[in-house]
Amino acid sequence: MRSALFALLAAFVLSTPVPSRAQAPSAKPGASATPPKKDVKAEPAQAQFFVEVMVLYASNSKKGIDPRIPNMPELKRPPFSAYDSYELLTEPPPLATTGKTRVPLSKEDPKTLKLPNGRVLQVKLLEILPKQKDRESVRFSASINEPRGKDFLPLLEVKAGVEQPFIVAGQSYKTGMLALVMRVVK
Amino acid sequence: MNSNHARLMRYYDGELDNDETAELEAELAGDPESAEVLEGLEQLSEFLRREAGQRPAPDLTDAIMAQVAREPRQDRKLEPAPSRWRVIGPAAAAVLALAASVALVNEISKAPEARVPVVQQPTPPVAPPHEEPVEPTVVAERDAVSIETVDFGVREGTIFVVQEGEGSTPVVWLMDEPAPAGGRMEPL
Repeated sequence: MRSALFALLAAFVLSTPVPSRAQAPSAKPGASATPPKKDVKAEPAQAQFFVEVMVLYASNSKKGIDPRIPNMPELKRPPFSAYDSYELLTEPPPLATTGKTRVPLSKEDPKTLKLPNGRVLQVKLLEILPKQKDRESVRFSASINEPRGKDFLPLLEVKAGVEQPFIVAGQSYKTGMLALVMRVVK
Repeated sequence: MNSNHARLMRYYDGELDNDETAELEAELAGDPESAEVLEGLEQLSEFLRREAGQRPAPDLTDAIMAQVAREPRQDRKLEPAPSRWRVIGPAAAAVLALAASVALVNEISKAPEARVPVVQQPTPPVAPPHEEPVEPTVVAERDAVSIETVDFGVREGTIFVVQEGEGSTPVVWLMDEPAPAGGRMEPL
């Protein structure tokens, strides 16, 4: 019977967890505490992102969709389909051929773009998000203000992948409205 | 195992009649060894109740034996009638195992450092929960843009998406120019 007792006790002892080396006291006093070598490679320059803004004028002037506007099925879907005409407004002139305006995204220096109705669009980079499966995306803010400082759209924060559009619509313009098609590009 | 141990187990199981019970209790007063065996039985039962969450039924052995007797055996016709030892063999083995446990408990309880608990289940080291590496959530193509914050100011506005195939385009619509009637808006 005693042998069984000893065998059982031995099993208990063997099954008792032994403190791991990780719990042992760390390096001896005086041992060199050389910090790990840092990667001396310079970080690559941060990629420059832009917000590409395409200003569309929506109206019911029976002119159809401006052929300079790239294929946008959204314009044929409600509520945009309530307007039968979409004209690409070219503002500012340097990008008149495409009708797109690229506004650089910067954290420190918000950039502005004057809209055809006199209001001012301002964009500011908030954060460049980590890549996910080669998809680049950023967080940025946008606001639309009246020339006299009155806010139209005080704040809009968007997380957007590169080349993924979204639309800010509803501003009155002439007999219709403006639709800003915005897209982050590099 | 001697007969006294068997009697103690029957006493603990409540199987003794009144006279036998009285006789045994009188003996226990002057027999420390039997008292220790009985204490070991109680501690073993306490351990089982604690570990298994339930106390073994007092008539557990009887129930097992009845089940054994009821179970039909396929080879019963091919073999001669089971001998008496084959019938009581499993029960004897169970009793022997129980007696060994009782004796072991007694041996342990004699050690002054290990009186309580007599039998302790060694606690296995708890491994940290294994967490599968979580892939970053793949933002679906249609969710490549998300409107996180909007302050419409004094105006009214709405946010919706225009579906097109598998994709969708978020739209922020301010009420400078009300959305045309009949326009179907889907919540973002």
